[in-house]
Amino acid sequence: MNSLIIVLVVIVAILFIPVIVVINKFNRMLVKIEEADSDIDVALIKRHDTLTKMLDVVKGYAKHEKDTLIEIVNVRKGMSAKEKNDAIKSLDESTEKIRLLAEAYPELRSSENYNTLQKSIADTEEHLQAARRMYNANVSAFNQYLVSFPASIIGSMKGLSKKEFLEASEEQKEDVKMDL
Amino acid sequence: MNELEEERKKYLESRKRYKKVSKIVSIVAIITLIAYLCDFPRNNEVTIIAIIVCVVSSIYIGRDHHNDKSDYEEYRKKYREVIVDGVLKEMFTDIETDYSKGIDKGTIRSTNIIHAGIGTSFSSEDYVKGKYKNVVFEVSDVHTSHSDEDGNRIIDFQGQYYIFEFNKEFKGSVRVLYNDEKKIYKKFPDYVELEDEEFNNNFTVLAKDKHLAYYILTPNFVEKIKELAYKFGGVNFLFIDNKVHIAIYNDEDLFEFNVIEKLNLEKESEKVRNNLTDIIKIIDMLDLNDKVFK
Repeated sequence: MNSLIIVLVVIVAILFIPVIVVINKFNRMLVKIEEADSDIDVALIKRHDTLTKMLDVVKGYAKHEKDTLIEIVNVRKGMSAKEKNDAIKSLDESTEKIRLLAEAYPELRSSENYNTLQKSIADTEEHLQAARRMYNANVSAFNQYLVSFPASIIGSMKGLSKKEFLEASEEQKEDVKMDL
Repeated sequence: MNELEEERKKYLESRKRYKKVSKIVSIVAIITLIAYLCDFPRNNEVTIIAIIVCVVSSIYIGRDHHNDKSDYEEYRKKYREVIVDGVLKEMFTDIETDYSKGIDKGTIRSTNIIHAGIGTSFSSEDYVKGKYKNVVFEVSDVHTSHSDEDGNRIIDFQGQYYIFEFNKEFKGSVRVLYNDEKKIYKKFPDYVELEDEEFNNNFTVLAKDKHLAYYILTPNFVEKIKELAYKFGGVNFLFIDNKVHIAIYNDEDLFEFNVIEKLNLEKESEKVRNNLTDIIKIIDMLDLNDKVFK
């Protein structure tokens, strides 16, 4: 009787240990994705704030221009991948509009404040790209693991599904360059 | 130039003389020693003479060796003053040199990109600091080695250790090791895998802050690192304190010279210039002068 119990315990252990290992690996991967995701939030918020400051500086020089009505999209923590993609796209457009507007004011372009903000924007863009790449690398590892056997069975039992990537345009894949 | 050539000839002549005299002294000492060993039963006079001859010979040979070394050092110093200083001034600005010293052991040891730990013999010399395209750099020759179980000397590193001002500001550190034992590091919590498979296969990236690794190692920069590493061979990098440390293992010294050959200013300057061009290549290849972020 005792030996039967031992055999049963061993069989249960043999069956459950790999399940626990897979679940732990999934949990670790999800934590990594969450960390990378919050890095993107930080970078997006920083970029939004810097861009807002930049717009204020530009407005100071171009008070009477109607083109100064540039809207900078609001960003918040915990946005979905799609919302993030849209926000990044919108911030890119705003950056380009501000840059074009500033081109008409050589004094502005040569001001120290403007140049400092330009560098800050370049830096936040670089941080954003780093966060996006790290997020995508973690998502890629997670998605690959999710479709592999036997993780796929445990994953579907846990209700896990493939994560969405953060897309990057060809320009975003290039290193940041700014005309200072 | 003539002065340097005179110095070289003087050194060669004195070395020749030292060698000749040392040979004679050694022969006399050996003959005396043989005479002493053959003299049975030994008498006091022979013993005393043998001891005196051996002691005097040892002192003379030791002094010769010392003189030879100091003459060589004198020529080496002059060579650097005449040839190297001239080339440095022509290529860079804000130059500081100390040819007798190098980048210190403490700095290099703490970076962990070359073997310089406990039990290794370490030497560093030919320190140069300067500026190119507004990028501050430091460089020196570094040699590290250790003894194996059989007492054989194993060279761990022989080449140049560079420190360049980096074009991004950051906190933390990222190590990039070329062709290192990947299996050892793969289980490390600091191990970082980038998107570039070729890069991952050839390099090991270690960083506590993984975001920082991605921030510094952009896809474009990764390409530059690959290009640099394939060009120079054994290259390791450390990004720390807004600087990049680069160790290049090439079995060469920066300002090597051949004392036997007749001095040719043009040829020697060209050789030094070629070696120093590596600094320019690194700055240009890695775009370290690109101050977009600073």
